[in-house]
Amino acid sequence: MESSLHINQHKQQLPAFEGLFKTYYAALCTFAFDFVNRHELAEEIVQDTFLKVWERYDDLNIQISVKAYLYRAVQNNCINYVKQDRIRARYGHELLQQLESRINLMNMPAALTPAERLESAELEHMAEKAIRKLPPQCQDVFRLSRFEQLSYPEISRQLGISVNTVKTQMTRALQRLRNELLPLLK
Amino acid sequence: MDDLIVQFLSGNITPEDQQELEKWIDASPGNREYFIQLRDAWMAAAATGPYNAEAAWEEMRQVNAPVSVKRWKQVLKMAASYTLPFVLGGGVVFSWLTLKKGQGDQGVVTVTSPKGATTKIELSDGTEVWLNAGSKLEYASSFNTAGREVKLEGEAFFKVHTDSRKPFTVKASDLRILALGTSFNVKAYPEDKGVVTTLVDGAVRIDGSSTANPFKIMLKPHQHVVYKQTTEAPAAGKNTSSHAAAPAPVETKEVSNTDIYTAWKDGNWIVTGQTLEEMAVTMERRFNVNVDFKEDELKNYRFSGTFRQETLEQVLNILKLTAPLDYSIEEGTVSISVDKVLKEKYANALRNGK
Repeated sequence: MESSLHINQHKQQLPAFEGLFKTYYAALCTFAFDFVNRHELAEEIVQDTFLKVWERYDDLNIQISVKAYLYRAVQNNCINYVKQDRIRARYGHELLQQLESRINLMNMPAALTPAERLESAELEHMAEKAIRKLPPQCQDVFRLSRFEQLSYPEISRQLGISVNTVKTQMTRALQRLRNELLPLLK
Repeated sequence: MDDLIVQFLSGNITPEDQQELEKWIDASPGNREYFIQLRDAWMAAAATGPYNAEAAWEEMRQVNAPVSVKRWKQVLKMAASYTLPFVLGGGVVFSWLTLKKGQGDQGVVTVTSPKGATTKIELSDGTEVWLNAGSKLEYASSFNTAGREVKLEGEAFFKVHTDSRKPFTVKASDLRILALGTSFNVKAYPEDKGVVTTLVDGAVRIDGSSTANPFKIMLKPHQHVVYKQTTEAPAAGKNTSSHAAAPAPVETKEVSNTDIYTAWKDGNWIVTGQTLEEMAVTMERRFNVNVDFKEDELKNYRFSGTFRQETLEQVLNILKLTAPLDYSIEEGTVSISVDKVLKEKYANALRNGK
């Protein structure tokens, strides 16, 4: 973290900012993880985003909800953060290509941006309902991947099923999820 | 293609398959729309992952808070003993290398991780292997049909997929390490003249039948075994019978925190009371440089701390903060020397402090 956090200059606002940080940090990291698929990089990006927010805390005049603002800021930072030379130097060429490709695919425009979609309470509710309707093993596999962020081999080991079974169940889960949510996705 | 899309979204896709997926998405607007629907369904299903906001807040505050004058004096005192814990944030570095057939050896797959890179691969049986810098892993292309044996030179972390009919075997130097469903670290760089095995979970047996003084050991979780290779053959002739059998050339200890030996696989480097000379060995592998000490006294400075994917310059600058040393980097060689001015300042500060 190269940005300096001048705590003394903002003694008044610090408690509110800390509350904001602790309320949204974990969810924003989960969101960033979808773009970059690396836990530590996701955390780095979210912390960097909060530092930038802090630097402009006095000047901020947030017209939209704080939540929407933070999600959009994190999404933009996922794109820009990995363009820094010191970040690029961290990864081999092939991995860097895969990372940038993933970020682009996850940012591909749709009717709503990923950040906007997360504001949709109805979509969230429908998704949870759809997950609960999945067959037991299918649901277990999906939750371990989506919520615990385990890899296929890890899920295979934990549930005592083959990696191919994990793949099949994951594909089935997302197909059903898409079918259930299709009206809201268009 | 649904299968590839799901593998991509869940972060389980290979670089090659991801390229194939991109081509498919670009092939038609219908494909693109379908992908976006699955992607958005995936993102709609998000729930908060395993992140610790409290810890992150404390870390962010400490890393960025300005150091007060009072604290600076404390840093000077701590620096005098050349031991100071430091933890810094950073990311993870991995590189995926292409598998290739060995040229002379038909049917052998060789995976090489050059200095400066860490490689993660998944074997056909689902076993995950992290290969450290300057390391090599070899296995038969018939892996998982005849058996599950790999040969290691260097350091690797194994997360072994359970298959009781075929134990997983690592051949490292003159040892064979057998495992079932197990996570363990093996360090077997030829220049180290030994093998270090750390068991994280599961069960491992070390077979030293081929060593100068044959032995076998069962490891329990959190045990750490250091095997020192000896070149002496057993004494021949009539004197042999008069000697008691030599003890196994291994040292076993319990380690409550196996991270010390396995953190490298996540791009981190944990240093616990190591001399600068010992650290130089790791530096040379991790950053693909040569380290040259201008003064021998530097070799005995001791450090503790955790690096999280700092660059070489960042690591050296951190060391400079805690010891009176200076460095220059030229054409892949790091020259480390005593910073005489700083050393005198330290001595003066300590004198004035008393």
